[in-house]
Amino acid sequence: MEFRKEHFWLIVIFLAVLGFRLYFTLQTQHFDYDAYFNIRQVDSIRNTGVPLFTDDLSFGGRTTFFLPLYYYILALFTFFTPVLMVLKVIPNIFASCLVFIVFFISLEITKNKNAAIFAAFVSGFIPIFIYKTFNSVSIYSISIPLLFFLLFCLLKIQDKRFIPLYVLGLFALTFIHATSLLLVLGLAFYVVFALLENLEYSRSEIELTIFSLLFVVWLSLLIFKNPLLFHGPAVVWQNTPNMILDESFSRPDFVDAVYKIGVVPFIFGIYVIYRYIFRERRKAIYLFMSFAMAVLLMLFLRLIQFDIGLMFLGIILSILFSQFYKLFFIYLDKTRLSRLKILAVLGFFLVFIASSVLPSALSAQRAISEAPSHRDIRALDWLEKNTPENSIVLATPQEGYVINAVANRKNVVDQNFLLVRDINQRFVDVNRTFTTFSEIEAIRLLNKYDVDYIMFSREARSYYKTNALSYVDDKNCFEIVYTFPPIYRSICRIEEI
Amino acid sequence: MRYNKWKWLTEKKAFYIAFLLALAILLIPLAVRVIRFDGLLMGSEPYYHARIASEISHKGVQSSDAFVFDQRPYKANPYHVLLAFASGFMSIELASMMFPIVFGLLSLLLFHRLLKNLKLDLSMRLLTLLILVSSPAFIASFTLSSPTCFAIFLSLLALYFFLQKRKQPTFWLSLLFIANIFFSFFNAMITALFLFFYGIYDKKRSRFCFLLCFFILVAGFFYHYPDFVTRTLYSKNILTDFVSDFGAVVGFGLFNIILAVIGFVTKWREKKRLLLFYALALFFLLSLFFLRAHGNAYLNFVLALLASLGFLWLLEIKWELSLLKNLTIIVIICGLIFSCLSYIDRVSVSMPDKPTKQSLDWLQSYASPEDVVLSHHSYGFWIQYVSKNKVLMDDFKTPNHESIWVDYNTMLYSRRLANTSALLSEYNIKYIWINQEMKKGLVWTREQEGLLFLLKNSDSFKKVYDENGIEIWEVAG
Repeated sequence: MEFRKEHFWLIVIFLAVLGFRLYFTLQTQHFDYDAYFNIRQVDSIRNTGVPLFTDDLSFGGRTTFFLPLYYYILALFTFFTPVLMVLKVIPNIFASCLVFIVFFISLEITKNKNAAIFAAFVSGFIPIFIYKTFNSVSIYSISIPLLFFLLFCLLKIQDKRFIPLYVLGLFALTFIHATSLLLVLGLAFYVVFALLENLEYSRSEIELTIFSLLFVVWLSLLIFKNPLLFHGPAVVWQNTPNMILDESFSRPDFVDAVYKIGVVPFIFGIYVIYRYIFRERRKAIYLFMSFAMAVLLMLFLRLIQFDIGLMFLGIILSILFSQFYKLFFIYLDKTRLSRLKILAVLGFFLVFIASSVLPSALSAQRAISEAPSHRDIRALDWLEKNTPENSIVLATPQEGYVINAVANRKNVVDQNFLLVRDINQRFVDVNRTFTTFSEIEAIRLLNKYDVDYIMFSREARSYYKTNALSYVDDKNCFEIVYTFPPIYRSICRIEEI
Repeated sequence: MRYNKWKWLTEKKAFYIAFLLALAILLIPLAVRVIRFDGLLMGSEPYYHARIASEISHKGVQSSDAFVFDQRPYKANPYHVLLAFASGFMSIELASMMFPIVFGLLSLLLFHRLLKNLKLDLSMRLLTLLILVSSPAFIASFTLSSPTCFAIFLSLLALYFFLQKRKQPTFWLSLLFIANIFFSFFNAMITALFLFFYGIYDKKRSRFCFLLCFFILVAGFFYHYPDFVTRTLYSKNILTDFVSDFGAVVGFGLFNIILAVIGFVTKWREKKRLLLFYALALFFLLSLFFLRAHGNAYLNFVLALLASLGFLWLLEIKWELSLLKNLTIIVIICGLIFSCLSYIDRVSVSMPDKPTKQSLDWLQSYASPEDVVLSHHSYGFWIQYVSKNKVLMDDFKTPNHESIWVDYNTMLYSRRLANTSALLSEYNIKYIWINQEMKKGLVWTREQEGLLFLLKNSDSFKKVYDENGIEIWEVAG
């Protein structure tokens, strides 16, 4: 393949996106709360060859369930590169590769290099995608690019070279994350759209859809066998507590959603959807519209968190934006304003910088400030060195992983809910422990989960909207063992005959 | 559309392949039970049937089941009578293991003949039989001892003779149909439904069909009144009753269902020819909402046929991408095999295990026959059969089920000694049987939850057995 001007710009964009991500992530040696689960798995693979399917620390000790391929990929890199660098850099490289995929998809749809380049640029700076993936060793940093790669293979399915790529990619995705189910749902919507709108679809696409559906179902049955037997069909909600589902979906803010996706892809992507539903028909556009529908359906059914859904929508709208870009400049060429094309490009660029790049920077800054602080990490280090090994520490669900990873102590609750019985009760109890005014009730709940220490961090203050635990003044039952953030040792037990 | 490429296939070969596969599949769980579990029966309900059969062989048919605190009425069931008869020359456990397998193989033979009478292509018949024998519902029906295996065999036998072109003595044929009344009202309904639709289809025998249908329904109603359903309908998800991959005991693999849906849709235009199958499929599906998984064992035969139609459709349509076609067929076959193997694995190592049997044998030697035992209701049948004690609750309904259920939960979850002691005394409960499963989520999730707290901290209970994670507590006083 000849190296052309657009390839040069594509590489520049990739480096800019990667540089942007690395600039922020390398400002701190710590990670987002969610990252610590992933870090433990990578560590476990490095040390024992297998991830932590039996976890002595999570929820006080239990069997966990997750898809391991991503952790094996990261662990592989740690044999050549220091672990911290791998965890900081590699996920950001994966996420940045999205710009290449979006470029090729947009080029395939629009046959317009400038539109494709701009779409690639837009996709590199989706605020919510950066916020969620730049400092959290997030699984979405690989699963999302891989999903869109599969969509690209689908667009190119008439070229038989892409079939084995698609099959291999699908296989990998199924072992990385349940995003493969979104792929299947999206394809199903696409087929329905194609039939309803009398689009000219090829048999290959139908065959690919049938194959993908059966393949993903079969592999999912194999992989999720135990959770399926444990939870039944409710496994699709990953046993997420009702409280978290309610919080995640309470009062979805439209303005916030637009901000997180980016104004440019949102507005112009929606315009393209409108145009191609009501005025024109274009198969490739319908493919991505189908995926947008699939994401919206999953959001409606609360199968994915709101922010995760916005990530997918942001990228889909970025791709659809490329079609708007092409149509806009075609229109402009027909008018007297065609000589102002450069200004128009500059205008788009500036608007995009203001509405996406700057918000991305602000989101990244916010993510860093929301990560465990240095003081929290020091407190957890103290816990590791000064408390018995089998101690159980009560903290917020978000802090569960970091307690396991840094303090090497058991938690009461974290964010991996599969294979946990009565998760709703547990969440209610933890919530109550932090918010109750009754010492008796607090001690009863602490006894119920055999809690030894309570960590009342800044995160707990913010999450439970309280400045202090109202019952810890009783020195007979609570001893403060660490001051900033406060860590209390629970001493008393309540019995009842 | 006929799939004629399998020229190597003959009538005998087709049946032998299916027969040998069925034999292997049905024998594997049995072999595992004999080798690893000293021949213990799998599951829970087989113990109920074994106990009833044992009672019949010693005391004759009883009018009520006295092994549950709230005695429930009992109506004679042909399967129990058969087991009791067999106990004259072999152990009930051996009979409970062998009869389901024998009925399974005979049912396979009859179904094969029925498919031949429908003039289906040989390859389609073979495919139907292979999908049938590898389905979890078939494995469950013909490895777990229950009246279902006998009822299915009799139903197929009646159907086979009924569909023979030469005339059969109507009286004997009627008896075969009428025998279904004695299994359950549901079995009577299935038989009546078949006769009804066949009467519509075959005008020459419609009078016989409608009369017999009416008789079976009425007789079945009066025979089973008022206990139409003996099973306890604990709240469960329909999907978990229907799909074996989601935990159903008598369920279907997801790929069996997908293929059946494809077959149902693609052959919809031929629905007149397949009217009976479509009607039966609809009936069994609707029965899910009222009777949980009761109809699955019967639906399986219909589903297998529809699934084979779906599979053949996928094979016969022209694929643009042959690589995808081959991969799809491989995935489907792997999916069917996976469901089968996964189910065999699950059912072969299901409870009870040797430590459970040991503890119940010990309880039999220690406790008196009139002592009532409290445990999880799903263990009720084991306790009744092995230790020969009454239980407070088992998996079948009793006349006062609702009120006992409330008290049962109070006893398990209350931490108030006064309340628990009063209830234990009211129900004459002398022993409490607890295993690790109960402590790890089946009943309790925390160490000192409910009754566990009282057992550890009160003198009202004395631990009399503690081995292999199983505890037996005696209630003092």
